[in-house]
Amino acid sequence: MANTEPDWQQIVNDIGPCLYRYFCGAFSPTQASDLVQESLIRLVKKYRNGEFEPAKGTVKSYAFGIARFVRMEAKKDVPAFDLVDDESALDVQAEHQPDITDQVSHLRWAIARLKPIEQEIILLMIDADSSLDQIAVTLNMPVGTVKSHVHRAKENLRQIMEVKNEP
Amino acid sequence: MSHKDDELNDLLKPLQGLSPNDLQMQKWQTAVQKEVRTGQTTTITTTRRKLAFQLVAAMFVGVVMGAILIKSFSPTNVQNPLVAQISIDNATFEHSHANLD
Repeated sequence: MANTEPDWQQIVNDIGPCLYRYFCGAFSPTQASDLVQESLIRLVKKYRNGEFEPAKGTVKSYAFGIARFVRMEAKKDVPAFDLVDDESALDVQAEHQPDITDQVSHLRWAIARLKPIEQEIILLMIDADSSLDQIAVTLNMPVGTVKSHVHRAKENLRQIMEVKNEP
Repeated sequence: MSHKDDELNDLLKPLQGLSPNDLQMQKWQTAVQKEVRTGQTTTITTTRRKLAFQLVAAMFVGVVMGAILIKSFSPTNVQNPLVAQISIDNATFEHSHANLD
């Protein structure tokens, strides 16, 4: 049975920016924007088909679950070097702040060098409001496992970034 | 409960500081509203199609059932002795024609 219709405008305002940051961790801002749109449209479709179950988590967790699949699909179509070195399509905000552009590109480059599960965890952790419980629901794994992945991912990310920073 | 990992938040700060511009937000809103409207239209169309299909199916079943009933209860030509007379298996056209009169 289909759920009652939510306030989609509010959902886009709340979840859109979080998904945008999630995708920016792996794609250029232009690509990220398109992928956010794709995820939101899939969210509407799935919600209307009654596939969202409130008992299993929030709309936000569900949206991130969809975003994961969208990211995996998009990754198949985009060569690895495009994911990390495409600086041509940065958004207006980033263009006016070259420091941020460099930092974001650097971070994206480093994230792309993590193991797939670590990449996933780190991308989900970009949203500072996300809880370990939410991430566990999205990834369908125990909270303890998420914690250990977070610890390892953090260490590896720091090491990769330090190596890149060395002259 | 947010994850509150300060060290990780420091590492991810550049990405956490990103936000979509108004144009992007507007684009997403429009796409979602369009999808919502399309979904509603599809539901209405599907319901109408279902109804039309049910009506056609019911009419077809009615016609078939009616034909069977009419055929079952109507007197057949075989019961008519005259027809029996002119329809014997080995009758020639002339024989049948003569018996018609």
